Parts: sequence; structure tokens; C-alpha cells
Amino acid sequence: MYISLNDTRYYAYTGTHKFNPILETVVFVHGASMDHSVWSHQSRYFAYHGYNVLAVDLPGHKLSQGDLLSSIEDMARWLVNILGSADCRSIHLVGHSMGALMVLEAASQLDSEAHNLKSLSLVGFCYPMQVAPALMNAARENPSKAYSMMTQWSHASRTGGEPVPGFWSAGMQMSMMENNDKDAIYCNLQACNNYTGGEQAFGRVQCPILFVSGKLDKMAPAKLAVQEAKKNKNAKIELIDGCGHNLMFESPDGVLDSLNRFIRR
Amino acid sequence: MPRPIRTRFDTLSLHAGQRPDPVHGARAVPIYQTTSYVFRDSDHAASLFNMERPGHAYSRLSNPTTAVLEERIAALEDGIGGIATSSGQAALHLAIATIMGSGSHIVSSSAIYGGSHNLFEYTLPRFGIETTFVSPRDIDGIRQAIRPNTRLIFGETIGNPGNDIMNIPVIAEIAHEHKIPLMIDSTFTTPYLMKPFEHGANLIMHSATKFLCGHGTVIGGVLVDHGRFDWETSGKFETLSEPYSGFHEMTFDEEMSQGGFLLRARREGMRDFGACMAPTVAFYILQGIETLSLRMQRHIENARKIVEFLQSSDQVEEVSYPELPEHPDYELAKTLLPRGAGSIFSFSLKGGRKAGQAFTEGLEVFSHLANVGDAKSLIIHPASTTHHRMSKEDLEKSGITEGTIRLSVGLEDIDDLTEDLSKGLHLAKKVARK
Repeated sequence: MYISLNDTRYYAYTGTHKFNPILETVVFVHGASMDHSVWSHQSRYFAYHGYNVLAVDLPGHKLSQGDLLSSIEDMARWLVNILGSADCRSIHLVGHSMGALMVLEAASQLDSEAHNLKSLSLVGFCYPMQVAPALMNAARENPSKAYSMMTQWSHASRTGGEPVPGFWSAGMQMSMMENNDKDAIYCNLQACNNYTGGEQAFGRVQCPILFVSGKLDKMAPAKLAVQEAKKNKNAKIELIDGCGHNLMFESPDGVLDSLNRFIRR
Repeated sequence: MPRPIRTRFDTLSLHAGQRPDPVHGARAVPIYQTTSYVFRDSDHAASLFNMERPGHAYSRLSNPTTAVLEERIAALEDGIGGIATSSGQAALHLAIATIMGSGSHIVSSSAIYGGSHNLFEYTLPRFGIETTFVSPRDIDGIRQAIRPNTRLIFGETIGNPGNDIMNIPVIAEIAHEHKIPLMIDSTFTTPYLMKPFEHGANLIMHSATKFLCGHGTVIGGVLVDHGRFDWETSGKFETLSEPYSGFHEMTFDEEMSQGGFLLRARREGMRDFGACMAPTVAFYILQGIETLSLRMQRHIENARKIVEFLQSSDQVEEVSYPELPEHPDYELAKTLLPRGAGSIFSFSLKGGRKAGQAFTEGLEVFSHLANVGDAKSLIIHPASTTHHRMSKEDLEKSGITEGTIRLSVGLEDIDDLTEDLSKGLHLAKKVARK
């Protein structure tokens, strides 16, 4: 469905279901230069298992209009406004990579009188999310090279063999990034690099937090997520074998099962 | 063009799409000879059918062995994914049925495989789809043939019988100006010789029966998507951009923003038309792909030597091979096919129909049959076989003569091949003298 804010249309995948304000809503947020369909399996599952689903395309990405947002704080404010506009009351926030920073920040900004934040899931997360200088340079100077670097580093296997029949995950990721605005990658990575509000945001979030990481993640190493989880008494962590940063595609069932156990707990 | 993964062609040929069997450790791709798969419980079953979880439910839709082939060829083509089909023709039909229906129009190269030509010329019109054929060298003609209801431009990397090279970069640009995709039959070249996606094509099909399998043992096809065509913005492809009642009102292009085409092709096309590949067939094709680059190098090496041999014969009127300077697409071939212009080509014998027949029937190493892309060398004389009812004038309209011979050069020792051809030329000369 499309949600209008200030005369701009933003897309959110709902699993082809109409929004039902009585139900809890699971909100999925994608990472840098990606789109809603990174969550295609997980979001569809929740949409058919008793939840509203909003898997958003960030401003300037894929089906959403609007300008690219240059900071995690701005992205979080946008998301909070979207949730208000869609009349989401009971919310589970789920984000991947840059999207994980964004939902963390959004969780800290949500007005508890307007929204009941039930849980926060941070997939492929680390904080701070510092981006390698070589990748930043490539994103600025030669986005195609940056897509290739990110694709390479996001997969545990260099020859595929992922569980979604008929799809070559590396090709999918490359295509997804190429189909976005070429400025998105640098803008997004810079936002990750510059975000310094993580500690404060964690301090403000009261709901249960789940960290989900691929054990072989090179982009956001799992050990950093483990460290972060240990700092927070409301947090638990699930590590998934055999996959890297693109874990929603490398292990769709693993990610779904982790989220499902946590959100339904 | 930067590649998604730094792993190189020969390694992908051997490994892409497969991890060693986690249960028994089998290194080769196991043949999962099964129609169906046990569900963990009802919710798992429902989730599989509803695409909430990945996996296999029924082998018409997907199969673990076939999935390795699909992923491997997608990796080799730099695509996003693929669908293996029962034949190359099934792959072509699947693509067409996925993106268009009655009232649609195709612009096709006129230099295509006879089976594809029949589909376009005679079969699809019964279902309301028309085709305009244009020479692949007639760029303006292709542009002018596009109508408001055109939904696809189609051609082959190397055409038949004149070895016309499709100018993919230019024709892709024309297609994209009109917001329609370009689909390429890449059977004759394989991803080893050319990757059409690098030149702007949007969809690729293979008759995997030919070089991909490479041993003349099985029939199969593959359809591959590059994932770059914007079906939504085009506004011309309702099957992908509008809700589909046949699958819970799914809008395929929204469901999987890069993979909407493949999703519909599998969820509708494989479900409803059912032209799936058998897992054993997929295994044979995977075996073939493991040695694809080695075989293609040898195919090219032998083809070049035979071209040179035939050119030196006074019994041969003309050799049509794109690496020869007199070929109309010589320059284009150098650009698009730097590794070689394939190993299938035609030449014309002096002495007409009877000489051609004597030549063909006199060979021992070359096999006389209607196929190409085998490890074994193959030969056919159209005027006495596939086109035997056609007059000399009608043959010429099809771009062939009574003495045209088509070779698919295989991997045998080159000296045995040239000796065999020498014998045939001698027999043809005797007939021509009569």
C-alpha cells in the first residue's frame, strides 16, 4: 500500500492484506540501497499469521517517492511519522543493517502514549556501524564497484547454494542496489558511519530486544552484536550458522524462526 | 561491469548453486529423484505453498537438483535467477506466456531457429499474439516494427543460417526506449562466449540440450532474468504489476522487486503449463557445464581450423563464419564475441543438391543428424533433409543454397575431422563432374 505524508507517496508491502488497526503491526526496514523485498519471506509469513505488516521502502528507494534522507535520525523521524500516519498502535520494529540502526533510533523517538512498542529486532546489527574507507570511496566515486564490494562481503558463500530455489542471491543483491538511485548507496553508508546516537537510544528503549546475526557476517560481525546484547538486560541474541550479512536470503527460515519465537513469546 | 561475486567463471561452472550434501557429504550434485517432499506439519506446508518459506513442495514447481542448475546458469550469466524447463522451446514459451497475452505483439529477428519461427508465425497467432520478423541487421526496420502493443524484442546471439550477429547493445537501447525488454536466445554462444546481459539484454534463454549439456544426451532449456527491467514503470506488463487472482492477489513485481518475472513464471507458468525439467536431466546438464569453458575453447579451436581448411578447397564456393573479414558482421563479432564466433557455421559446396547429399552421406566422423552443440561433430544438408521440399528459389529466399552444408564442429582430433571432410569433398567433386 501507499502511505501519503506531505503530498509524497511512500510504499509499504502489506502481504496484500488490508491494514487492520486491531492487530499488532510488524514493521520491517531494509538496509542501505536495498528495498522492502529483502524481507519477502519473513514479512509475508507474518502477514498471513495474524499481524499487520508494513515492509517499507525508504524515501527515494524503489517504489517510494521523496528525497534520500542523509541521517539515521532523519530516517527514524520519517518512520515515526509513517507509523503515525498508518495508525499503527501496537508495534514490533524489525530492521536490517542500516535499517537496524534506524529502528533502534525510531524506537527511542516513539511517543509511548501514541504507540505501544512491543519489541525491537536488530538483524545484522553492530554499533557503531563504521564503514570501511574503501567502500565509502567506492560508494562516492563508483557506485557499481561499491555494490560489488557489498555483495561480496554480504555472503558467507562465494558460490551460492542458498535455500531459495532458482535464485542466485549475489545477483539478486547486485540487481537490487543497481535498481535504486545511484546516490542512495553513498548517502546511506554515510548515514551509518555518522550515527552516534546508539548508546543513548539503547538507554531509552524499554521493550525486549532481539539481536539476530549471521555467524559469518563480515559487514557487521556477530561478535559486536553479542557484545551489545550483553550490555542490555532486555536483550537476547540468536546467531545463525553458515550465513553472513545477507542472512534474510541466506537463511530465510533461520531469520523467520528467530523473529517468530521472539515476537510471539 | 563489476560482478556481484569475485568468483570466476570456471569456478562457478563447477560450484555455483551447490554446497556439499549436508547429510552424507556427497561432493557431486545428488539427483533428487522425487516428485514431492514431506512437510513438517500443516503450517509448514501452507507456508511453502504461500511463499512464506523457501523450499520445495512439488517437483513441477522446483526440485533441489534442478535448483542447482538454475542457480549455476544464473551465476554464469550474471543474472538473478533462472528456471529450468523441459526444452529450450518451453523456456521461450514460458517467457512469452509470463509477460503477455492476447492482443500483444513481438518483434523478432528473422534469423532464428525454425522451431521458434513456427511458434511465432503459426502457433502464437491462434492465441492472439502476432509477430513481425525483421532481419537482425536491419536496425531501422526493428525500430519501425515496434507498435504500441509490442511487448518483446527477440533474437539469437548468432542467427541461423547466415550466422547473423545480433547487435544486442543497439537493439537493447531501442527496446528500452520503448519500455519493452529484449530477450536473447544464447544457445549458440553460451555464457562462455558472450554474456548478453552485459550488452543490455533483459532475458536470456538457452536450449541447454546443446553446448550447456554438450554431449547430445538430454533435452532441456533454461530461462534467466537479469532483474534490471522495470516492469512496473513500463506500464505495459499487467501480469507483473497488477494483482493476480490466481495467487492470492499477489502483485509479483511488488512481492519480489527484482524477481517478479521469475516468480510469476514459476508460480503460474510452471504450475499451469508444467513444462518442468526432470532432475536427472538437470544432473546431466550440470555435468556438462562443469567442463563448459574447456569444451568451448576446443570447439572454437577446431571450428577455426575447419573454416581455414574449407576455404582452401576449390570445391567450396563460400564459407559463412563471422570471424572472416568478408562476413557482414565481422566487426560486430570482434566486439561482441572476442573469444570466438561459435562452432556452428555454414558453407556452400559447388555442384548443387546432389553434391551436397553425396558429401554429407560420405562422411564417417561427422554424424548426419538434426542437432547442434554436441561434443561430436555434426552435419546436415538442408536441401536434402529439413528443406527437401523447397525449390532452389525458395531455398534462396531462406538464405541457403542447394549446396549449403551446416556443420557443428565438435571436439574430435582435428586431423580426423579434416580427413573426413576431404573424403566428402572428393565424393562431392565426383558427383559435380557428372
